[in-house]
Amino acid sequence: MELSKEMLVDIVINITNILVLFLVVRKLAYKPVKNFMTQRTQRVLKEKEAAQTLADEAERKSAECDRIIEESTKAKEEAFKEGELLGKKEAQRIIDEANEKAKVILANADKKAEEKQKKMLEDTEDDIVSIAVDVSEKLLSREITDADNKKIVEDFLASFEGQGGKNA
Amino acid sequence: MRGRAVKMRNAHIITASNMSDETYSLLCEGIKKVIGEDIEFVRVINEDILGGFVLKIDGTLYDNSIKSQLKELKKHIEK
Repeated sequence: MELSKEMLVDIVINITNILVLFLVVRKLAYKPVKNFMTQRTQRVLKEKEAAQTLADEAERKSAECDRIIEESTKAKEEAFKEGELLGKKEAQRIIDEANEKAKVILANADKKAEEKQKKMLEDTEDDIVSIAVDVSEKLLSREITDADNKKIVEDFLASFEGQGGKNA
Repeated sequence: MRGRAVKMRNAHIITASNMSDETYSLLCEGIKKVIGEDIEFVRVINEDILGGFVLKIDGTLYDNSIKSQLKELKKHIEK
């Protein structure tokens, strides 16, 4: 098969068209596309940087949260320990106070019991004395003789005379 | 017979019945002797005093009864 002259011309024209088109396109579209690509690349980079910044921020905040949680946990434990210690101290104080009160109550009870016992003893002594005096009265009412009366009279007169009948 | 009215002093003596008249007289005479005046004695028998006597003369009381001595004894013991 042989290329005709017309076909060669067509080929040359086509190649020329392609070259011209390439040059035109290169001249007209290359810079805008390149600029667009550059801008796109920069935008993607910026977005990536922003995403990285956000990720860093998120990580920092996460670390901050972890630190706060840890501190809170520590503070909670310390507060719990402190509360437990205070509770123990308060419980001990209440026990000590109760013991002191119990001691006072026991001392008062002992004192009252002692006073009651003393009073009972005194009452018993008084009763015994009263009974003894009553019995003595009954015995003496039978046993007193005129000789006893005479002795009382003589003693009185001796004393009366000694005072010279004072007040009489 | 006219004379100056003399008011005789009174004395009350409380005794129990176990005091004889002789002892009572001894008491009266002794009192008269000490005071040096004639005194009219009034005797009251009261068994409650048990023995001894209580003399009341011119508002003064001399309690020499067994009863009062027992009371004193009781007070002394109770102290």
